[in-house]
Amino acid sequence: MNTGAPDSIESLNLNDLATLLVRCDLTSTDDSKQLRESLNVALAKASELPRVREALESATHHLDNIVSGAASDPAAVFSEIGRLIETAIEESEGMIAPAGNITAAIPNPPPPSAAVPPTKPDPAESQSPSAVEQLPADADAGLMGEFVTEGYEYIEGAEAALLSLETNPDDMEAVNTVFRAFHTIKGTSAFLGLVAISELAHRAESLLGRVRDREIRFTGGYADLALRAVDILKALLQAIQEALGGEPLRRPEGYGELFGLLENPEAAGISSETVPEPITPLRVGDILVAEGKARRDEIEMVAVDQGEQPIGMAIIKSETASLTDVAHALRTQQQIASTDRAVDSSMRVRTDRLDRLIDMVGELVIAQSMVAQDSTVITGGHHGLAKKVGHTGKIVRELQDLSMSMRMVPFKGAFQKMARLTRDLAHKNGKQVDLITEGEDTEIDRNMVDVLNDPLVHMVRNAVDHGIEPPDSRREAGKSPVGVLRLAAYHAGGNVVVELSDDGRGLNREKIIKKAVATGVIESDKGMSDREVFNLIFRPGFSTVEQVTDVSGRGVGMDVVKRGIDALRGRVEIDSQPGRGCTFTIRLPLTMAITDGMLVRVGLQRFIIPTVNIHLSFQPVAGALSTIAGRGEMVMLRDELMPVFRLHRLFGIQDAIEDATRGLLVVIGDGDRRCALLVDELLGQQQVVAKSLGGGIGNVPGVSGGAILGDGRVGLIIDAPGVTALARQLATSGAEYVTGACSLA
Amino acid sequence: MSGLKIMLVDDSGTMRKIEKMSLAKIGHDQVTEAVNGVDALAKLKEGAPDLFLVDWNMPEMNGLQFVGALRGMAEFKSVPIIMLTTVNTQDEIMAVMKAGANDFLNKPFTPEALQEKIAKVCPPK
Repeated sequence: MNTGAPDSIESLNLNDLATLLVRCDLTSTDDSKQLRESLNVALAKASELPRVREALESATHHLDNIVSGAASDPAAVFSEIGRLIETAIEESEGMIAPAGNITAAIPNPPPPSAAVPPTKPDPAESQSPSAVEQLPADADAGLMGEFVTEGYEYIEGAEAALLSLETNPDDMEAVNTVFRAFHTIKGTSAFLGLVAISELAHRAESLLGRVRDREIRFTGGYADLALRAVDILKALLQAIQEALGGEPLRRPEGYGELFGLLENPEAAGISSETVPEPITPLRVGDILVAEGKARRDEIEMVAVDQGEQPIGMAIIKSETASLTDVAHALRTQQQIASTDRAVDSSMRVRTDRLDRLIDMVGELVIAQSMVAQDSTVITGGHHGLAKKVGHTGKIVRELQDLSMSMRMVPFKGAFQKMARLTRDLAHKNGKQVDLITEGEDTEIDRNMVDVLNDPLVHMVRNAVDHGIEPPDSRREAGKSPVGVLRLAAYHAGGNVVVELSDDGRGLNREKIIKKAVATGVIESDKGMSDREVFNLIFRPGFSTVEQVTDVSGRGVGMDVVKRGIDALRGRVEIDSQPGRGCTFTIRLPLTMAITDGMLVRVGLQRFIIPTVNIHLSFQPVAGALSTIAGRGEMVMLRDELMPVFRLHRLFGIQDAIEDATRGLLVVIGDGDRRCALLVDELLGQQQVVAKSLGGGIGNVPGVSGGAILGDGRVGLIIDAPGVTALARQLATSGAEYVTGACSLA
Repeated sequence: MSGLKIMLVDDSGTMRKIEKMSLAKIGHDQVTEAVNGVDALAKLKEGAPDLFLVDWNMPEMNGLQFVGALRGMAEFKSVPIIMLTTVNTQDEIMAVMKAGANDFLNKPFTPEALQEKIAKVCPPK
């Protein structure tokens, strides 16, 4: 057993030297003198290492130049010294690592006390130190006893944490607890000269360190390794206790194997995926018995006395089974539970077939409602027929719900992508960001998730790049250095709502206005609410960031987000408070297949306005209406002035209501793009299957598609953003409303 | 009573005992013990020590946070601090130095090594 040679770098004090250099004050002669002395000491020790010596000599020379005032640029020379010392460190590492015997050539061995173990196992020995060793000769029995007691306490804490990690592998608090247990045991045992235990604890600590740094996840094979390490450490503590009573200090069974595995788990094929085969029974105790890890009568005894604590903990404490076994059993139990829940088998179906099925069902819904609204059924006095049609209607609606549910997927997948993105972006930007997701199980039409991905990516990038401040600025602002990004999804009012909020610096109203004025988007911010100002960032080409980062930016603004959400017939709103953060709220229809619409009448035409676009509708009083020169007809609603667009003029419809006070105004659009559409009356809410107008007609401004209504006639679906854009364009160009922009019988 | 007034912050009782024994060997027996940063801050009300010996990895408030907190208080701004820990990489050394510690000592250490470090950060008056 090698008790002598220490780590070469340590004996050379090169790290100390580097530290000294970092803290060294250039102008202080004391500091320079101290540095010079340390260099001399290192030089003397490095006599057998020519390259190290060379670098150190050069550094000494440079230092002398600074002290004597011969150096013209002391700062540059100083950093050169730093580089040379670093070279010396690298060289000494390179020299020592391949040939262990050089260490012997380095003078200044530490006091020949067994209480100082080598920091690295002697390469001459096998991977794991030999199976039997003695307690260090000068071991203080009292201290050893205390170490064992304290060690057990740490192990117990680690066991509880490990069990909770079995069900929640991302509990970082628990990871830290286990890490600290390994770390403390390592440190103390090293002092006591307990090589076997400190070496194992060191490797186990490294494994947990990787989990803590999120390099690996605490699942599968990694979890197994940590559990085994705890078991072996416990056995080692017991062995020390016995050794204190005079027994030889024995390594527990499996020590060598585990020691090797921990050195390089991946080389042994361990990953977060490796999991044991599940078996059938359900209670932890049953699983242990079935696996032959415990006897049934023992488990039952434990169950009687378990008291408040979980059965797993009770089993470990009573030493009926080991921690590893109980943790395995818990995991098996979870697997069975989760397979039980989703026990139904599944099959893959091509999405185009599914899409077609959903379309057909949509058509069926409409065809059925045509039958139900037929005059023969309604007024013909055929009670039997009406009843049968009603029954059919119920089945058809159930069929619709069912077919829709087939294409619904949870947000989970999309959110997980964002978690990854957040981590990568934060890392790249040198920021600390925690992503909290809520409502991952909220479902949305599969076809929409893909479209939503781009806007989400852009918003997350924006929040991490520009919203959340660097840790230092956050600290200065009195906030936690770790920024929080919250991504939530939930159902509200027949829509899906996705919220992304950060606790960063918030949007800068002044900056946005400045930019908007500079680019001619607005003339001034007079009368603009915060929300209206914030909405400006959705304008194409708008970006307040002067410097385009390589991560987000690319110069394109948030208009990508707006376009993506418009395409989904959704809308987005921004709330922001300076210094407190910013929240984007996206409202989307549940599905694109069926549009929830408000059927409105204009003259003899009927239109469908998607419900998601409608804020409210109201009948204006004469005083609220006014015509403003250059801006056209406006209406005042709750202190907000918005333009009025007459649908009948937009689409050239005859016989519609001209007097706005007799019609209805429907408020659509977002923020500064809010406007009121004049219609004759609301006919009621209706679900419709949106159809494109077909290649023959092409793209009609202001109309997103058509739908077959209950009576078999066609209704046009209003494209809310499109219709506002169209109306604005016509109003500002001063042109007359075009008649006959679209006429469909 | 002899030697420096030292505050020892370490969560492990065994570790504190070892460290106290080491300190006693080199002539320091005025040691106040604390189990983590929070505990230490509470005990500081009894007066400023001549030196802090601080472990890194502790629950509730770790060594780095504690050192950072000390350096933010006028009273303890210039009291020397040695971190007793296991730092291996330049990054870790930088973290210790940036937090405001004067020096660090890797565990395990000999009483002689500790004496050397103490002499370095607490020059005899």
